[in-house]
Order: sequence, then structure tokens, then C-alpha cells
Amino acid sequence: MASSKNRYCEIGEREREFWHYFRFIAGIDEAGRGALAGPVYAGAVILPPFSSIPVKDSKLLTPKKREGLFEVIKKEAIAWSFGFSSVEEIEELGILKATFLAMKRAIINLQVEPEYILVDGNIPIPELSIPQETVVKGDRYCLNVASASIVAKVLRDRFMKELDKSYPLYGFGKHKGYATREHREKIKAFGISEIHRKSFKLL
Amino acid sequence: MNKKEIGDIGEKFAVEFFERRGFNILHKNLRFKFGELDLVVEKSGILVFVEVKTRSNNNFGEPIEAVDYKKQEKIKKMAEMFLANYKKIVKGVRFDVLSVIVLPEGKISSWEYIPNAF
Repeated sequence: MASSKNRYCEIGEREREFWHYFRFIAGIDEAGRGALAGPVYAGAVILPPFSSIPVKDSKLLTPKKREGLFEVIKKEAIAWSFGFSSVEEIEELGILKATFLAMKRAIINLQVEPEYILVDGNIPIPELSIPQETVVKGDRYCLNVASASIVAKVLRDRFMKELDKSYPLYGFGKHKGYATREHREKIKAFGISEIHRKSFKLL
Repeated sequence: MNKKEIGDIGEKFAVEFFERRGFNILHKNLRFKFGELDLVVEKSGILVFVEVKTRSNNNFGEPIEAVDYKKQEKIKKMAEMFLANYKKIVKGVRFDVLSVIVLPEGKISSWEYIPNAF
């Protein structure tokens, strides 16, 4: 039972309320906002109403499990898509605006126009004509957002593994551009590359 | 449950349905001499006249089929009269149909939404 103190404790509970009024609810989440290098990705997923897809908090999943769930999402979803903003765009716009741009691209790429959007976090996407709601810790409470988070994370990880081939000095395949100790040490040793976000405090 | 109670459940659902889509509810059951507009809603300058059709079962066809040509003309006539007295800027006008099927215990079993129905 959901107590008043801990409402929406169960994943999907939040959406059940929305699914009474909307058929096409899209969850949106980003991946790579806090990384020191590489693009920021956004995923968008529209699950069928009252779906019981077995996704969980994406941060608790191993990369292998995420890959497996990505395949399930591709099969189950009414529509799914992604969008990203490049390092140049992140430098030009700042990371927040670049993240929203990636999210909007993901929404535009959806084959079905969503009627309602659930966004992870607490800042709504600016200038969006579709009604939306922000959900703090959305990837824990909403099936659509958790699925979108898996899409964004899996596709960004794949892209960073590819980048690792062109920029083998930094170990992007392992840390995906995040500020791990290894990554910091590599930056210290080799300096930064063109895919590093110069506007970030890199060390 | 009688016809009026079922109708009221449909109307209530319709209000929530449009509010959640970001519309302002301007009027519910706006009466005219020869009929009434179920719902008049607005979003960023677009006025929408909504015909809400509620049924307790669909043995007699989809509720949406009940909005025939004659009914459409009547709704358009009422919309015209409404617009004549509407003072705010109107960027566009639309006619939507929302059909709602209510279960005997008063729950919504399904709905069909047709924006720009006629």
C-alpha cells in the first residue's frame, strides 16, 4: 500500500493515473549530462497503456542487463527514439540548454506524437507545445522514464565505445567520459582532446 | 444508474481530460434556445467546442456515430452565436468529439477522442 508519506513508491503507479486520460505518454531522460567529454544523449519512449514491462531503476542495472532491457523496450514500446547534442553545441549553449535540445530532438524523432510527456528531473522542457510534467527520480518511479533512461544510456555508451577507437588515449570505452579518477589522470597526462567539454572544470 | 448520472460521469471525465491536456475550461453545458454546447475549452487562442457522448454500453454502435450531420449543424450554429459575443482574440476554432463508455458501476471503461471531428 502506498502511504501518504511515500506516495508513488512502486514503479508505474504514477503512470496508471495518467493512462486513464492519455494513450501516448512519453517518458524522457538524458544520459551524459555530467560527463567531461562526448555528447549528451536523450531517450524517449512511449509504452502501451498499463504496460508492465520489467524495467527498474536504470542506475542499478549492469550494462549487460541494460542492453537486454533495451531489446525488450524496442519490442514492447509503441514508439521509441533518441536525440543528442554534440560537444560543440554543449560549448555553444551550455549543458542545460544542450540537454533540452537533445530531449526535443528525441521527441521530434518519435514516430507517434505523444499526448503527454513525463520528464526526469525538476525543470520542464522550455517552449514545448505538448503538456508535460517533471518527475524527480523519474527513472525510479515511471516505467516510461526508466525506459527512456535505458535507451539514452545504452546508445550513449555504444557511441562512447566507438569514440574510444578514434581517441584511444583516454579510455572512453570504460568510463564513457565521466569524471573517474582514471579519466582525470589521463587528462592530466595527455591534455584535453577536441571532444572534451572545455567549458567544464576538467580537473 | 440512470441516463443523467451516466451523462454526468462522462462530463466530469471530459473536463479532467481537457484540463490535463492544458486547456482552460470556459463553459460546461452552455445552454442555447435550441440546444447546448457540452464543453467550450481554450488553449493558446484556439477555441474548441467539444461534443461529449457518453454511453453505458456500445451495443448501439460507437457513441461517436451519434453525432450526425444534423447535430453537427446545430453545434456549428451555437458556436457561431457563442463567437458573436466572445471578446477575446481567437486564433482558431475547432470541433472535437469525445466519446466515453461508462461501466454500470460508474467507472470509465474506454474513450475515443476525435480532434477536428467535423
